[in-house]
Amino acid sequence: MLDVNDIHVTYGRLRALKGVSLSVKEGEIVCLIGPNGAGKSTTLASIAGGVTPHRGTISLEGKPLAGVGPEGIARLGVSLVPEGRHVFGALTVAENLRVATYMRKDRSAIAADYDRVLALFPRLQERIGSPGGRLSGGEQQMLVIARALLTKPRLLLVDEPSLGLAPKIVDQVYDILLAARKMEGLTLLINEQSSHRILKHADRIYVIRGGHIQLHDTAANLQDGEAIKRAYFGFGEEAAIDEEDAA
Amino acid sequence: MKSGTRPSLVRRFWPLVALCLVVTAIVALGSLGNDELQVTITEMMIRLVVVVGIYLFIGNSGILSFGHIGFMCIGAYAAAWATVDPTWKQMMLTGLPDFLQNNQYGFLPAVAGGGLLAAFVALLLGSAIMRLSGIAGSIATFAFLAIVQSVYSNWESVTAATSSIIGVPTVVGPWVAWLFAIGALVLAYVFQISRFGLMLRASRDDEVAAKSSAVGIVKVRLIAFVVSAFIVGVAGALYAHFLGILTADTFYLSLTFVTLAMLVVGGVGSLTGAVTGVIVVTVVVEVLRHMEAGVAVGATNLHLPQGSQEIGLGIIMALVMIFRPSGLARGREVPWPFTPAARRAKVPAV
Repeated sequence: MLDVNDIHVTYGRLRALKGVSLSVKEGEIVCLIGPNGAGKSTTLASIAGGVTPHRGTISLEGKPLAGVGPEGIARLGVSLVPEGRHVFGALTVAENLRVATYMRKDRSAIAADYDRVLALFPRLQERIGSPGGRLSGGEQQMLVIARALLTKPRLLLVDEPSLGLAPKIVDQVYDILLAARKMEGLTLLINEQSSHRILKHADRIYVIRGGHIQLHDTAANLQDGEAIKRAYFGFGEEAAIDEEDAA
Repeated sequence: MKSGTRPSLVRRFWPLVALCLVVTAIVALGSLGNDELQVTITEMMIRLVVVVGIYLFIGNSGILSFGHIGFMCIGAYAAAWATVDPTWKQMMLTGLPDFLQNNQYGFLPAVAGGGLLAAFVALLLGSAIMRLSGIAGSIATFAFLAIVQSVYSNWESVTAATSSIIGVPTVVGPWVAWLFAIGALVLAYVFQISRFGLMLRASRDDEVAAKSSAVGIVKVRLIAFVVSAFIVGVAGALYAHFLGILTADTFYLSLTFVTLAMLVVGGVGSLTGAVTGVIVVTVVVEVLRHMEAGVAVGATNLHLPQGSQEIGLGIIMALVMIFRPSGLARGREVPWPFTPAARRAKVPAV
């Protein structure tokens, strides 16, 4: 479904991605894990069209996404849930959700989707008339996910859904993501810093560090966590790659 | 959409109805007063059209514009070109195209023409600068104001430059201005609650999230910019037919300052704020002006020093910034008056 092939991204003199390749198949849950500054968010932003790689290609179902732009990519069915709860603070919960439906062509289906998505989020239903900026952190994260679901994506990119949330809320967020996936037939690409929760849910895992993919395998093969730990912290042979970059 | 998520039609349009009633009441009361009051009320209504027009763009997009008085200038001159006596135009405005130079048009076509020319210029300008956000966009609009000012005060054969256009029919009184004020309020409110208004306010709150919700930010901004320029251009045409004489200096920094002050005092976040600001600032400025002229108390004539108006306006703005940073209306619309007090207290729960 999604193919990212050897993308390089720089911010000024900082090389954020130094050749990242990954692929996501229809219906999968793929997780990209890595420490701060590894390039996780940049990878998702590149897919969503927020930043433009200066080398490499990204294609969705075989069609290259270069030059399509963020709104265009969203219309193709790729929705990004950005890191850090980007709600429209002055708009009510209902308005936040309505904005997401304006790009859709299938107007008749919207009302039903609206009810179905909202049924996943009883808490949002209660706060439907409050401004988005007044919700708690967990509620905002739910709102952003609900909003993304209403654009009717086929591929949902979720950037660090657990960031700054209490563990109990994080579990709720994951429960909702999984329920939404089942209901909407979604494909998920999720960024996370920690691996233990994601090992339960993901089909495949990529570990990214220093702008490189360090490790890629199915979640089943990585259950003991040792290989992930090595790739994540850079013990052993990966250190050599870092030195090569520095030079 | 389920009925539970969208309030009924009456409730959705309540703020607009309330504002129209207030504005109508002011004009109706004013029409009982003397000629001087009539002039004040007329000017207030024209400024209301300007401020509502500016609000439509600034309030919804979050981009401060210093350039809208330039659109007012464009609208004012375009309307004057249409309604001034042809013999005068043939003598003074030799650079005008024939259809304007040799004909005289009615008031309404002239107003429409003024609005449309301003909207057209906004379309050209906006296509270039709507991708700029924040202060970069604001500076670009300021540059536009300076360009308009410079062109209109020097283009002798078209604008009569410093010798000014005279003989514009003064047909705008309180009720004509009122009619356009109501029109501007309706247009601004309908835009605000339309999908374009909602998308624009979403982009104001968070550009990243708006883009990932597939909002074409540049496009919705441009639509607002053009509609807003149209309203302000119409206000310019009204102003021309209120003053009777046009010079480009009328449409520069002091008018920009007063209109933006109105928007800031009332609050840039809501249409109610825009209207409140126009009313409050007009009242304050008028009271101070009268006190500058002097108030007779017994045998002595007490009066404030010259310049009190400007100082007073400055103080009001400073106080509002300190005590109500989001303006007198706090970015909210007129609330629905029939919500039980107990429930109303529950709504803003954090």
